Amino acid sequence: MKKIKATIEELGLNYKKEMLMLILIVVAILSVGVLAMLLLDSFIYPIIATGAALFAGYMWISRYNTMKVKLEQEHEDELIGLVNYLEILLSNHVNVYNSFQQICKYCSPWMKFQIELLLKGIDEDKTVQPFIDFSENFKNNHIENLMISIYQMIDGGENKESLLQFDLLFDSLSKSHQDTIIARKQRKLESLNTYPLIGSGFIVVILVAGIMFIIEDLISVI
Amino acid sequence: MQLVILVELLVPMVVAIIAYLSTDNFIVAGAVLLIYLAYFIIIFHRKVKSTSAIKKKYHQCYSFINNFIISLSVKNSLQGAYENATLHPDEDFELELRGIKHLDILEQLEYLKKYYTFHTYELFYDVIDLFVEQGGDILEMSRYLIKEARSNEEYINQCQEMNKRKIVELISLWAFTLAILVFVRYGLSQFFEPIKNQLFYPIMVGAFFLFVLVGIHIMVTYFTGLEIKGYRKYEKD
Repeated sequence: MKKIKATIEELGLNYKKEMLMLILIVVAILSVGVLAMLLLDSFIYPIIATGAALFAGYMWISRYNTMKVKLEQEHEDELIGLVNYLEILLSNHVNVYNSFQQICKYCSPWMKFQIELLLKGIDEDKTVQPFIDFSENFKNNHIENLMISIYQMIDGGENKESLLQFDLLFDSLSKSHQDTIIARKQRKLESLNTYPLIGSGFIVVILVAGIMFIIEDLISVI
Repeated sequence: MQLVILVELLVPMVVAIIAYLSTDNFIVAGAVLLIYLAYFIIIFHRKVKSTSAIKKKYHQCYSFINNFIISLSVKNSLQGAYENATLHPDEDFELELRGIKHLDILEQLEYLKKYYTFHTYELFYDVIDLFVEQGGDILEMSRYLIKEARSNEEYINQCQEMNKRKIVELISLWAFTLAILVFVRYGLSQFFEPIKNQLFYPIMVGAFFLFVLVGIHIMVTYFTGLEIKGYRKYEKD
């Protein structure tokens, strides 16, 4: 439960609100089951409703992990985009510190906050540590190498060699990231194929319901 | 845009006809027609129009940046480069240019940040500003900028190609699904006669068409989703 609470808070959501929604959904499903039992006089409905409530609860809680993964992906996408802009500024002899300040205007509030922490860290600590701390916000290991390469530009001077090293490192990361974005879009589009198949399944359910109705009619006649 | 309007009218009509053929029920067919028309006119139209506008604007922005930089490298004059880049403006862009004619070139470029709200254009302005301050080789200065702009342009074109291929595939799949419904209805007509007037049948067919609409909505959302840097929720308007 503590892990779920931590995940919810990391996503910027209100833990109490989320739990209240979950309780409301479970209560609504169970109420429908009890109502069906009272109206149709069968114990099967509360059993089905309990199963449905458990399933709904599980789906509600498991969505937080999906949201977390999606958020981490968004942060990484954003950073790769921003480093592209950093590259443009650095190649025009804007120094690393000023480049980071200038790219803040393209950032989301979360990223702007992280960059401000990085800049504050650079002011207080001239070692590579602020850059490593910044890279720990992202799952991709290549980002740490990238940040170290950026630090080397400050430490060794923003000369052509350090810029070239940064270029080489960033180019391969940027290319693989672009491929990942296209692959992600392709996967999303492929998933659309399931809907017509589910539709066909729906038609089969209508047919089966029709058959059951006719059989029920025949039995009542007999 | 005419094709979009045709789709907005044709799809609800076709679906409503299929709903009628499968239920022999005007109420179900009428409800399906109204719901589909409402969706296509309100939601579908807005999404498609907005995405088309973004794509068109980005293509223009890319073309503007490219022409400007190449003309600047040849003529070495902001005025000349600007004139070349704004040679054949479309209606909207021409309206925008008319309003800022009285400003100097750099101010006009700065003003256009409100028209081309992409990150790429803002970086372009920063590079031109640096060029004006420091001088240098504009082609060398804008090398990474053009690379970034081209990468976005290629991404949009690739998405468009993937969408076109997918649309054809999905239309075929949905057409087969709807054809199955009509075929089953008329192929097993004696089986359907006793059940078509029962309450559950039109409700289930209605639910089926609602599911189809959900599938269409998800499809439209995926097709119109574009990750162009500079057009996200926390961007300035």
